[in-house]
Amino acid sequence: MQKSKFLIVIITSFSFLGFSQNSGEIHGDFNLSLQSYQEDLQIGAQEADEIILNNAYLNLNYTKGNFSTGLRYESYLNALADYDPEFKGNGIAYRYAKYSVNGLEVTAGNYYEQLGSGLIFRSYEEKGLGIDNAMDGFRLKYNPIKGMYLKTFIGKSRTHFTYADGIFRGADGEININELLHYNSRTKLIFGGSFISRYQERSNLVFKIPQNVSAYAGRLNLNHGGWNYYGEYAYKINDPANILTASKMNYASGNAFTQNITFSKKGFGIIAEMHRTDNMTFKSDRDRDGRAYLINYIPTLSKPHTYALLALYPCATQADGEFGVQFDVFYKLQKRSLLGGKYGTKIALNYSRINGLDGGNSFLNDNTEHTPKFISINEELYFSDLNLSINKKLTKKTKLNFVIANQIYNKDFLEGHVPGDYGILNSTIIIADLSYKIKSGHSLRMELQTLISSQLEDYSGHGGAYENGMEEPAEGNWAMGLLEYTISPHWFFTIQDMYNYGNEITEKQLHYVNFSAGFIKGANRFEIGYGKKREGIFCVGGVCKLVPSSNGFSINISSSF
Amino acid sequence: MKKHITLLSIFFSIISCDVVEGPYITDSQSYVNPEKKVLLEDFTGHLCPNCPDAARELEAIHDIYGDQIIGMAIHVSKSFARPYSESQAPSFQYDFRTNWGDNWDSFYGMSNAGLPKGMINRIGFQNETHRLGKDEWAAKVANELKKEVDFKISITADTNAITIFSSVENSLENNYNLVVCLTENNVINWQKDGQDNIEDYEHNHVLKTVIYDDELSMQQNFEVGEIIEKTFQINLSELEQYNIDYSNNTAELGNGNAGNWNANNISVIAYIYNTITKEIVQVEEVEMES
Repeated sequence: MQKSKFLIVIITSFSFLGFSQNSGEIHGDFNLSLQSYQEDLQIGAQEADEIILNNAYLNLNYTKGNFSTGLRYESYLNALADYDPEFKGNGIAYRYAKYSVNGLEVTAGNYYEQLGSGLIFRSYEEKGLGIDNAMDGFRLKYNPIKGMYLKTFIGKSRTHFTYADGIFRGADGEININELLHYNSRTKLIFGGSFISRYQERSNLVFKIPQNVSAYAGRLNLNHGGWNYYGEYAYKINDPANILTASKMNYASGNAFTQNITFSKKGFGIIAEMHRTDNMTFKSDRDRDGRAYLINYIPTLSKPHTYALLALYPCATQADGEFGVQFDVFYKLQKRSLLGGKYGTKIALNYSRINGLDGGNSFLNDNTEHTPKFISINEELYFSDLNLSINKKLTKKTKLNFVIANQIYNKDFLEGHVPGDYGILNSTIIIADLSYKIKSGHSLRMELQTLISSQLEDYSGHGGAYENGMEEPAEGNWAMGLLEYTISPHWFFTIQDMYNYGNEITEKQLHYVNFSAGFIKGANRFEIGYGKKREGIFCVGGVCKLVPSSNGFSINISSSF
Repeated sequence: MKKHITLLSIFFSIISCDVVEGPYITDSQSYVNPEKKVLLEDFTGHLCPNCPDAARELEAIHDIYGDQIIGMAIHVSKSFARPYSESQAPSFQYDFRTNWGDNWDSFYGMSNAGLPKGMINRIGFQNETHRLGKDEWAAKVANELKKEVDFKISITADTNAITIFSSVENSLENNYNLVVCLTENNVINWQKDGQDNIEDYEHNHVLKTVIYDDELSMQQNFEVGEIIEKTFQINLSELEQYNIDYSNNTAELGNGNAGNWNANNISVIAYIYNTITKEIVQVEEVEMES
């Protein structure tokens, strides 16, 4: 059935082209990831029964004037080991048709949508995390007058190759005061409001279960010169799980707010952010667990890092309850100044701190009621990160990026362990990233990284067998080196080694070596690699997944037209 | 402008929501077939802090439906169920894992999806929806209990022999296997529970061994009223030794500490499943007479 639909859409799409070469445009992109999985008992990597696993997709989009249509064909035969096993088989997972006329845009089929910053609703795709909760239904966007933007939609949310049980109805309105009043000013004001409601029929032998669960949010964006303020507050009505354990039934409502102030001028910028979430996990199916069923998004409050050891212990946002603050300062030391040197220097300082709520998230049932204080910072620390990066061009051919950071990572809480299993890790990380241009088209890049880890708290009285009384052995210190040789525009070669020399278990003081080579020509990119990956947490924007350890070859091919 | 506001107001009034006011307890009832029994396989581990919440949900479901709900706690995987090393004694020294539990875990992909996870009569295997979080159990159990039964099972068991009587309620083609296993209740041992390590946690329905997992009968079809009888001779010491050997020789980081069964707390669970869909169509449990 799926395949025949696919053929019909393909034939239809190309028929459009066939009728007239000038009647529209078709674009697409393709990506294939193959990986072999071999057993490696030392790192705990398992062999795949299939030997090779595969994820692939092809996007096709046809546009003619104010009409567009497209589809995505996806293939998981079977899905890579870090994907949910429910991604299995082939099929057209995304198809849509869209047109706009006189300020009204109509979408039928699949669409991605976000209300405000996503606190109450976000339908998006993030391949790195294996998340795709695209909506299937109808969406209308209407721009009746300049400065007023309305949208409404109805649909079901994708989970793997099917759709979750809940039906979502949403609406959003945004008013840009300056545009509406034709008022040109240095001060700009935009405010908006959004609403979402999930219907899911449920009955429970013991407890009342709301069938329609809704959430609301209001937001404000104020801009004046170099200053910008964004604030959003969200509220969700009671959304208890459909269970029978009386002590776990929670009828409390949820709420969240996020706000940030930024100031920037040439060569200087500051950002101050704060957010709080309480009971704000919102799912497309109240009964199901897992990332695939999350339908809202709490923006992360810590800096996303790309360097391997800086991202070794990343912070997962806790929609159920957290309070956090973040500050950023950017400064560019001018060229030929005392500290800026010949080429100038960029400095960025970032600090974030996230802790739990007073006594946990809101809770309400016939026997228990708890509402945490609105602001409390002396609660259990989940994560903090203080980091300084200095980016400097040393000579005409040499560039240096230097980072020093201190991170506190509550491994027990963030990874769901009992306090005292792994404790709270206090890591100091130093990174030097040096690029050297050998000659025209040839460049060499080297990363040297080190992570020194210790326990923040002493659990000696706890009685565990490992350092500081922990129940589980510590990974301890890491070192990492990377060498990348690029012959532009076509070739690159990379070798990297992560070495866990500080592991408390001597047999686990292992090297995780990876090689990769790539060839790029035009819109086509080919990459092959071989290596070992450590089991760990991988996050994008505070949404995280557990990546199992692996050992094997990989091939990645991408292309677009 | 007015028109737009009116349209929006109509839209908001249509998509209203249900704020539930206390008391939150309801008195609704729903149909239950008194002949139907449901097996809830709770894949768990003594090192899994969130698993006791699932065990409590299993008990809450059992409190509602009584003996129509049969639980089985299957401790699986190195991460969640390995015993701690001797240097960490006395905590978490017992190896609850079994050869059969690990095989089921691998075949049904349970611990890889994160624990706790359960299966309700193994429903949904063919479309990969069989792995259920604890919040999904109650609704699935309610659905299962509405179903008609094709078999009824009765069991007699003592420490030497187990006899299973399977009576056929509807004429059927034979696509069915019978499984007979032993579980142990009231095992007092360590368990991680949320923020705590509990020394004297009561483990119930713990899978100990599988005595039989093969065809229900050699015949091609079943007729209504037919009774299939199977008897198995057992030796608890030998079965216990098998688990000790499995822990010593096969299970990752096993320590052989898998004995000390208490025959007074052993139950026999027998179930019939469809070999194509893997659905468990009927199940029964009795306490073993010691």
